[in-house]
Amino acid sequence: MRKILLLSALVLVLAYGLAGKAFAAGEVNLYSYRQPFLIKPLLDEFSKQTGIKVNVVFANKGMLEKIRATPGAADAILTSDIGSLHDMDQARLLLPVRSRVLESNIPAIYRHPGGHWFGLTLRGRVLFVSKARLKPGAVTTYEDLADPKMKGRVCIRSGKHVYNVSLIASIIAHKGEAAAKKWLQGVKANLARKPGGNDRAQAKAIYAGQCDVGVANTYYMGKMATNAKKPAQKKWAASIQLIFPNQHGRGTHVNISGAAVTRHARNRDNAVRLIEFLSGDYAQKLYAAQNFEYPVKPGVPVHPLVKSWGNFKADTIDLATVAKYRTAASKLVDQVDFNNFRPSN
Amino acid sequence: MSGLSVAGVSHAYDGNKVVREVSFSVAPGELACLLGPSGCGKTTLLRLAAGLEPLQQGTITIDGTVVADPARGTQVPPEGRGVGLMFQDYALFPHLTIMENIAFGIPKASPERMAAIQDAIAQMGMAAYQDAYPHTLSGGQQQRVALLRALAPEPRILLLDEPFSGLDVNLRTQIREETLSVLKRSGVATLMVTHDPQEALSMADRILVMNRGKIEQLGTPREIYQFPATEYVARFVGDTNILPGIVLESSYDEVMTSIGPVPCLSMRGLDFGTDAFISIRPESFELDPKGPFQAQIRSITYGGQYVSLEVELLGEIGRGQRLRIHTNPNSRIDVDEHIRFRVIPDFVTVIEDPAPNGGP
Amino acid sequence: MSTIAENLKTTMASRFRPAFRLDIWTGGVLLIAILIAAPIIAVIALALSPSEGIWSHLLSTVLFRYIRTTWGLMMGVGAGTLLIGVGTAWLVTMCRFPGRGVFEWALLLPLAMPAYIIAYVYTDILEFAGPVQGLLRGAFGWTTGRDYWFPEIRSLGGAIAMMTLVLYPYVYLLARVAFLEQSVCVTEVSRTLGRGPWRSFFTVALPLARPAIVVGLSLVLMEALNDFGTVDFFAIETFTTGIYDVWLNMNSRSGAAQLATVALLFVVLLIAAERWARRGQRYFHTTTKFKPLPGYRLSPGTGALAIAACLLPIVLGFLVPTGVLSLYAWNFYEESLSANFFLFVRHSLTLSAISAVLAVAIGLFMAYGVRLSRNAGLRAISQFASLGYAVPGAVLAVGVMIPMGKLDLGLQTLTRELWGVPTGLLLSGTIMAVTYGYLVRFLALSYGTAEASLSKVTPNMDGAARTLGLGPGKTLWRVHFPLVRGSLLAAGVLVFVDGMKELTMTIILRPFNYETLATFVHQFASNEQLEESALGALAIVASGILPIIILSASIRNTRPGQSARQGT
Repeated sequence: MRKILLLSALVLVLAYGLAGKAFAAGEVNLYSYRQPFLIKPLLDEFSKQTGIKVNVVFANKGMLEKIRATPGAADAILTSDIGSLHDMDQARLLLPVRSRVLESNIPAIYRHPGGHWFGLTLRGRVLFVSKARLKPGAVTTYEDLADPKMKGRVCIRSGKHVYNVSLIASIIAHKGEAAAKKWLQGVKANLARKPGGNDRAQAKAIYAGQCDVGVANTYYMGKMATNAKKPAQKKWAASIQLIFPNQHGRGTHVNISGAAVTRHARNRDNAVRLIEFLSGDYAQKLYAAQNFEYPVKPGVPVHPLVKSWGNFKADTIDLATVAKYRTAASKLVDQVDFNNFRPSN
Repeated sequence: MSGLSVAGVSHAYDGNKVVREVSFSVAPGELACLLGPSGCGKTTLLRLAAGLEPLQQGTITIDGTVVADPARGTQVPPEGRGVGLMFQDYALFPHLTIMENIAFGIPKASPERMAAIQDAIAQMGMAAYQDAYPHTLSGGQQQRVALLRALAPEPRILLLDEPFSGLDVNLRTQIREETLSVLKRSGVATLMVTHDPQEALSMADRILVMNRGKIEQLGTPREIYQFPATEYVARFVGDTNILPGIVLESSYDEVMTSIGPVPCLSMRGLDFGTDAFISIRPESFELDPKGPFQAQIRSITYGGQYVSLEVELLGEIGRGQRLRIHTNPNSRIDVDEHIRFRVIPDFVTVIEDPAPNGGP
Repeated sequence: MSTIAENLKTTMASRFRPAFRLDIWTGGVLLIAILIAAPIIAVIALALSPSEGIWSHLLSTVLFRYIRTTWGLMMGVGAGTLLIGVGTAWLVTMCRFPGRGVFEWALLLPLAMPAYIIAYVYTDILEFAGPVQGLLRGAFGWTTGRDYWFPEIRSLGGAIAMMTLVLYPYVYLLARVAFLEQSVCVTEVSRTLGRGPWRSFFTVALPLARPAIVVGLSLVLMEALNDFGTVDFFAIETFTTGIYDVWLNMNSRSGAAQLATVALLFVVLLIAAERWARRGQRYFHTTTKFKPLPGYRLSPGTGALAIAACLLPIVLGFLVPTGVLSLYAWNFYEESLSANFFLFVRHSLTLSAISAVLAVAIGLFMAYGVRLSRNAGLRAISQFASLGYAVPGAVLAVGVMIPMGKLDLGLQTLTRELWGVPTGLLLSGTIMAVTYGYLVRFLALSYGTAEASLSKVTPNMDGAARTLGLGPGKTLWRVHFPLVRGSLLAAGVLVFVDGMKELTMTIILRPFNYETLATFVHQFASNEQLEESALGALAIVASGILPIIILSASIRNTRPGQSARQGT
């Protein structure tokens, strides 16, 4: 028994110890909060252009702890919102990077002033409005979602989802906690159903007639409208008007997908090159074309469909400030018991 | 010395002392029997000898080698002691055949050895069951397999834990004899544990009567039965009558008791005039129209080999004293009848003061 | 005087009696237990650092709802799995009706279905915009949700239903084993005392099977307690969603670790209560008299009811979700196959198989070591080490990374000193990390099974083998292992199937470029595009079917008197 145990342990160490050596030159190790199928074409192109192999692992939680527990295992991080970048920065896990390329590609408001993190794409948190049941102009602001006239007509995903937490944090940053709480209570009172599903599910509910207005990220509209494999989603998209809220005020809340180099990176130069590549013309175009996101790099064209939604005014508040209020925002969701909505009828 | 030797062994479970200062030895070819009620510590002694329980105090020696001596940190594990152990429930391995069970302890047996074992199996009438599984066998057959298995590795000592308690009464005598002949042939030093006095008396060369973790008396079956040293032993190994008395002159071979003078073979060297108790086995009475004792029969129990009478003395000394008497089953007597009897000294002995609460 | 002295001596002796000898078994068990417990200890250590006012916030807002919802979830899932698991186990074990032979194993099939997948499938079918409600609206002319009532799938009730459907096999499995092990005689005694089959079931068979059923139930409750996928998808606020919320949204690791520790304490209490409840149950199989089970022949009417009762959980927990997945897979097979699909299959199979073998070997080693030493402290440490099952996966993964990272850094320094070459992250950078994580999580399954089945082997077997000249190791190999082989196989299958489904820990602990079926499915499912990876989900389910059938067959052989015939 004992011998078998020892032997199998030894075999494991040898077999997988060797397979796991990923520190040779010409590599970069990437932790990604974004799904592999979204970023794979970009990484493949990077490898083709530079000869640098990209090792990637996708996870949407626990990465901060992993970086802390095994410093040096990952060189770069790719995230899908500002929150995780901010948390890692607060935990002093990020390396300040100075790069002319990055500084010229990325506008200052979408990167950390000290080069700790860099935004790569933008997505607006917009309103999906039923074309059939709401007149144009009936809903134009986030505040409208809390207006009693919308009672029983609002759909939204869980208040605890990072996208919504960031949105609420931006409201706290602009108007203070009390106002944000009041707004959240107002939205809750207007819900058509218990918060849940993802952004796409809100569109589906609007199409099915369960509610008239939902909150979602811009790129979902593009993905639904062009979904050849699931024609049903095209119908959902067709039933919806995309509204950029607060155009006459502070602007639409935007979040970034971003990247950073870890403090103990072993392949720093490769990591910087990867981020530079992702902020360059080729990658930015691909982001725009495939994922319907807004490139951060000025001058890179957006997808024609995205263009058809029109230009919009984005909220220009410092994203680090928004990220700072995320804990407060999350607590507000608890305080108003947002997710625990029960229809009154 | 060869055989098993136990010296000054004490043992406690969770502060509960179950074995106290026990010493004895078993010689090769000898069958010693630990006799006592359940909870007297006899099985614990067996497990200590086998090494299944770590020894706390004392020493255990097998064939001259100290196998357990906590004072020196010696604890030879069971597999290193060369003991055979047969369990009350036999503990046959249910996943192995009879042959595999028996050969379990001798994985690399020589052909001659295997042949000898085959012979033993055949002698016990188990040849037809070699490839059967234990659960298909009867109790008696399982017992034989367990014995063969314990003996197969030719242990230096053999330990038997209540080996016959699971058997039908009819079968028991036969299997006992069978076992005894197998043991004698093998010449192994055997320590057997039992709570059945009949079994101990009929099988053992020597009996160790245990009470509350101590050895109360050690002797041949005859000594134990005829001359029990204590009231506890006297009562545990059969029926008896205990009477108070005073030792008379040793030349007299008589004790003065509450029912008058009684002949006695064993004075235990007590001086004239010492207060003592005597034990008179019911077999020690003989109906005799000229006997010195007169009594009236109170109850009669038919026991097959004998008739057991409860009588009440009528004489001047000891009037009203009740006694248990065994007589020939042919005696035609009835309740309330008056009888006369005498005491023959074969089964009369002086015992130590009865313990305040001793005896069954 | 003398008695006092003697008592003193006795107590002294007894104090020294456990004679803690550090042999290879005790030392081995201690070492492994500490290794396995290290991540749990790491989580508890994390909980010891302050958590800036998280508790006052939780106390004033959601804490009591977390507790209420979690309690409701556990009660609901507990009651549901008991009803289905025990009921069907009794039907297929004790009654004779058409299809029984198929139901015997088919009732285990939902075990292969991950809870998050079944939740996804049913949401698709039952939500407002799904086909069922759509048909109803079409048929009755309703237009909005205010026109009619339909149960909301994204609710506590929905989560209870989903988890019940995939977790009841644990109860079924253990209840069936227990019913098979019972001597018919006790049931017959009850019948002769004038009790009908139903009352005999409730007054004799059920109480006798209780310890086993409780073991199954505690597995179910721990799964329900630490589930994240389903409750997150349904936006239900349980203790576990709370842990993730505090961790990820409020950025407080210590707060999350504190919540997790509280949940762990709750589980310890639960286990203690369970152990206490079966404190008297230390019997071994001694009788060899086992008659074939009676098999109540059911009338056609009752038989039809029995068939329906067995069919329903299989249809809802397996056939419907598998059917829907097949439909998705048919439409979207290209998306799955185009990727390195078979590599993922191999990864999943390798990981699960290695973990199953190791978990069973280690579980047996520990249970046997504890049995040998008879040391209460060692037993307690081993039980503590098997608590990983009760910790939410991601929290446990964080716990795994901490000691593993430390070990790696130490190894690295060592090899650099010795040979001048850094090894790299030998443990945390390889599938060692995932395997370790699986062991920490699934040891409860294998250790618990090994302990329970070893306890059924009378200690006299040990004694017999030892006095026949075998050392402890050989005794284990030649006596105990063959006797408990069936149960160990069952434990191995459970670990294997659970390993195929495991997601949270795999995601966090896997090395670079390492994709399993579960993580592959997850990258789409996390985007609510399960359809694209349905083939992967189907492969997870399919790979569980064969082991489950083996499992069912091995259970059949657990009936005493039948198992003994094996191995000629």
